[in-house]
Amino acid sequence: MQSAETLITRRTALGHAVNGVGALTLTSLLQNDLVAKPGIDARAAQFAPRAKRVIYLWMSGGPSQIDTFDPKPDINKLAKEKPNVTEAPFQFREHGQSGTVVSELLPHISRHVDDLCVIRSMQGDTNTHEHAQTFTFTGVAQNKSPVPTLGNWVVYGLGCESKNLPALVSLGEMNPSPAEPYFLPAWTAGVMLRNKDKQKPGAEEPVVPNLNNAWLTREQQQRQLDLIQRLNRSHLQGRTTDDRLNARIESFERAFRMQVEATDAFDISGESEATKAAYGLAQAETAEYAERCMIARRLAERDVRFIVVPFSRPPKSQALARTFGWDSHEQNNELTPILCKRHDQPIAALLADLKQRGMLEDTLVVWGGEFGRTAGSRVGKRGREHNCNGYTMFLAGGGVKGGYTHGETGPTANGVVRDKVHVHDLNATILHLLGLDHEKLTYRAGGKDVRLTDVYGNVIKELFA
Amino acid sequence: MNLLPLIRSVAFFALALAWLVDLGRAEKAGSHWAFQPVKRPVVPKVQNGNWANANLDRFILARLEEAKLSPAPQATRVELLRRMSFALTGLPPAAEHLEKYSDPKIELAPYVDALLASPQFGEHWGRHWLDHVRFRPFGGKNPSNDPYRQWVARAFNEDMPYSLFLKMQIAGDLIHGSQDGKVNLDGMVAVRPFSLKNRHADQLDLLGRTFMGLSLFCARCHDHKHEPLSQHDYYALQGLFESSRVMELPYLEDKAKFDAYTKGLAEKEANEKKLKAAPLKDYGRVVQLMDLRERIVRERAKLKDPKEAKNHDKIRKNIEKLEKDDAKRTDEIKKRKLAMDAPEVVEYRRVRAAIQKFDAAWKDVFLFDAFVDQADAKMIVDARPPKEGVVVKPGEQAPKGEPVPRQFPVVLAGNQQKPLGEVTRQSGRLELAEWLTDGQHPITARLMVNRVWYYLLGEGLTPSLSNLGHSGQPPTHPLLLDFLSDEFVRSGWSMKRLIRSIVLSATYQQSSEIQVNADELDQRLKLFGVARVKRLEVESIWRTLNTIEYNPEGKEQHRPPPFDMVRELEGLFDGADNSLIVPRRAASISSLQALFFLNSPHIKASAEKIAIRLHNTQKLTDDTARIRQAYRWFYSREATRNELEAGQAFLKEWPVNAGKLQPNRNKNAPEPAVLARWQAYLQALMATNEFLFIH
Repeated sequence: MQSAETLITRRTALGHAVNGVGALTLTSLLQNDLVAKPGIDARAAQFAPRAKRVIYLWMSGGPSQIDTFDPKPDINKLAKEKPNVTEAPFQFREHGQSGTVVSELLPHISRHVDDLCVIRSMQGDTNTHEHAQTFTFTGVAQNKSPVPTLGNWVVYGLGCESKNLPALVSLGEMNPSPAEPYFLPAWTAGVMLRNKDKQKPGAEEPVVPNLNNAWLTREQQQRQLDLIQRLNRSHLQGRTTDDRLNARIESFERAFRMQVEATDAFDISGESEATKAAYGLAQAETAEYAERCMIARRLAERDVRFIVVPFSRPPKSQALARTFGWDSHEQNNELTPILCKRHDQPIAALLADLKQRGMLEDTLVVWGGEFGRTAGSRVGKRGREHNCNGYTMFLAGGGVKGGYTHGETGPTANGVVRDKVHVHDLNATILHLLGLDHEKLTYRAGGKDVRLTDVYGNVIKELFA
Repeated sequence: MNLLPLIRSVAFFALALAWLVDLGRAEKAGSHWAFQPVKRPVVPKVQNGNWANANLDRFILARLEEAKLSPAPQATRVELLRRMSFALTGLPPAAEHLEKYSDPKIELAPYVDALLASPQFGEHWGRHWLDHVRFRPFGGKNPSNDPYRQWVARAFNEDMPYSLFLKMQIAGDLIHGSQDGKVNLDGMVAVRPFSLKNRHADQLDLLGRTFMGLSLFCARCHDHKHEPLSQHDYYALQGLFESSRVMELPYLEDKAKFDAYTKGLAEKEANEKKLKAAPLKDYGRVVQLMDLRERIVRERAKLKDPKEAKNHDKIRKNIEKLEKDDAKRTDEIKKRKLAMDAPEVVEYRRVRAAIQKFDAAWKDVFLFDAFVDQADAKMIVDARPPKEGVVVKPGEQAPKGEPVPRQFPVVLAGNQQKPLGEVTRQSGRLELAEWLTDGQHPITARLMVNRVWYYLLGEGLTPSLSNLGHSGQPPTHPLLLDFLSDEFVRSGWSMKRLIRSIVLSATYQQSSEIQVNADELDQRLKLFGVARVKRLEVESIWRTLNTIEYNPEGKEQHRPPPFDMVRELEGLFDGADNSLIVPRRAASISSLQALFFLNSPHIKASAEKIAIRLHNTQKLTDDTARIRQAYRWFYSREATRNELEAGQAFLKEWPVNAGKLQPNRNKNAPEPAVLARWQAYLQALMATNEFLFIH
């Protein structure tokens, strides 16, 4: 009997065909196309990659660039004159050998500026949260669009390196969900873990639910799995139109192996005390993101291709920050420090940890949200509104230039004045660093070749080391 | 040089151009397909007419023939029985139906009718509807007791005309002739805000997307960027909801009280206006000064009160502050030449007292207004005089030309419509509901027909299920959509007839399997020339297990599945988020789902219950019979010889680990070792693709 991984499916075998081929016979297509479409197994990139994997520190909500990486002293002058401009009270100074400028709100990250490639000139297409989030990951500025995310595209391009873990993991809930890959092959689906605070209150919840079986031995489980897969394979006979059937067969194999591998990968109890302290696991305000970052590193070590680490929501005791997160329409100058504190130390520790293990070279770290913020707000002098016209993200490791600041925004971060990096450009650049050409990474769906960057995107070579 | 004439002519030219552009835009806007009346199309001619079961098939076939494709062959009978049963009731076919209809020569129409008549039809289709209204159960815990949910299920089961179904949800309270003379509130969802803070925004978003197929909410802060909807249109509709007020049920049931409140509210609002207008307006200052002086008197009295002894310092300081304020205000009043004993002052105080009296008398009504929440099942009714105007969120821009008269969007109802204020003395919600369901409205029927098509065929005739505007996608089969919409309205908006006509069509009954290349498959999927494979929705997963677990021969009650299990499944298998409008659900596959089927204690418990049922069913005397029965329950078919042998071998060779066996708590259960191996076997059957996918 064929093994699940080598089965020929519509998507994998009958993929690349010319339009209007109704008359062609099945066999000729099979011969032509068996080589054309990749399967789940890992494969070489299209050209030599600089990065092998991505850790995406996803700051959804829209962190204020004005108070973190892009100082705008003019805003304080304006705040004295105009009723709706909010002061920017946080001090900036140069750090490291490179002299990269970072705000006092990020003291830990500041120590790693010589590894950071700060892009101050990001630009998106929309100022609505959900649309912009979807745009950042899929290149389509419409929320709930049936399109795959950057992570799914990367898995599609490179396959799944780990045999025992999913290739794409989000360590918490995020929008858009990477769990459904839409037109891409079903095996490119990611695993999105639920936020802990949504799980059962009280009992200590595992990060990955149902990871272990409480009543069967390994041998019994193996027998049970054999039966499931035997029934699945006979059910698959003659069925080729929906590759989710194959994907589900594969998902059981992987789940079975995850029981051993993921138990270890998601268990941070064995990390040294020094490491735990460095990430900030002991402090309440950093503990959650620290745990996520440590798990991210452990997954990276185990060849997970694309790891999203969604922002960590403050606890109930910080009601305002919990409600709004980075979205500081009101009380920007109170919210932004709280959110910076939650993420600064864990992120800095992750960078240090990756570097010390020699992994930063081939791990691309991306930090940022769906947009930044404006100088003022509609409601008094308290907050900042959405701003997709000039905001900051940073990259680190994975072949990018450290200690480098790219681009420039206007005097109130109102638009880009130099070296614009559009979301499509960033995605093209990320793919390039992974050895994938964004113009050639296409998938034929609905009679046309679809790609992540649509018809846009330029690789920004200035960002490369 | 005098530039004025030149500037003038340029300006004129620019204006003329702007006007022309505007005109062009309006024309283009109006000509959008979904804003045109539904026109019953001529049924197209086809070559292979024998294939068609019904007229709708000819529309599909015509497009397939145009693309030089023939329809996919018919699905097998077992596939059809399962497909129809899951589509109509969310459950696998019943045993007696499998027996009765398994012969392909037997007509399927009676089967479909039986499914439509079963109470599970309303439960299943009601759930589809709940996705569109961000349903959150009343009281949180047990959603099956929620009155709105029950009302929706009943409406589907009784085949309430969709027109009435819609009306009841927008203006049920205003429809006369309800039972027992009570106000109809069960269906009132369009006006049940999700949050109080964003009340009108929630109401208009739901109204727009779910009932009107338009992204109205975009027009709140500015004219819509993609649709011919202005901010004016938005606030013209918002006026309808501003003219309604949240009320507690008892007030609605007591007519006298209700009328007293409505009358009092009208007076209060008139009084508030009086205070803000001349001549009383200026005398507010005087009254405030008088209040201040009264307060000073009260504070001085405190100094004589021995109980306040320890606060004397504080009070003295306060009095000092108040007196300073007094002096300042007195100056101001002198400057403005306002007399302290003017008749206006007396009048001002009288009016203010009237307002305060009303507020005190109806305090609890305001309390409800302030704390209302969908979960509290408080309702909005027309308990206030109609109001023109706008309530704009702080910081947002109000539309020009307020107050905005209440009316329907211009692109659909035209420029000549009478403002609702001239048509009705109520809020206008009833008129809105009637306008939407008058059979002439271009969107209402199309919107619902398209959704029904999506739920049955797996994709809509247009994939944008709650957006038929410019920013939605055009339909692949516009004629078919119009044909079905026309039929729908003619049938008296019968959902059951619409569903019946689709599932009995040859189109619906095509196989999901066809050996063609990827491009042709994509094309067939687009043209409905092949059926879509469906993954079970999360409700179908737990309802199916729950149904199989229950032994009708036994004495035990039929219990709903554990709440924890349902919640966990909803997270894993793409359940609808109850804070969002969810026109379309995802159908993902992941290793987390596989882990659930492999390791969840809920799955273990379910498999054990089914094992116990198999061992307590009279006619099942040996393992072979039990395996056969399990195949019928899980897959609606007979087990093959190979499968029987595989099952027997699995059970026989199962290595029972005595250490982990627990004594049975259930006295009907077989002995522990037997239960353990059957549990393992049945768990495997429910983890398979054949269980989770519908072909």
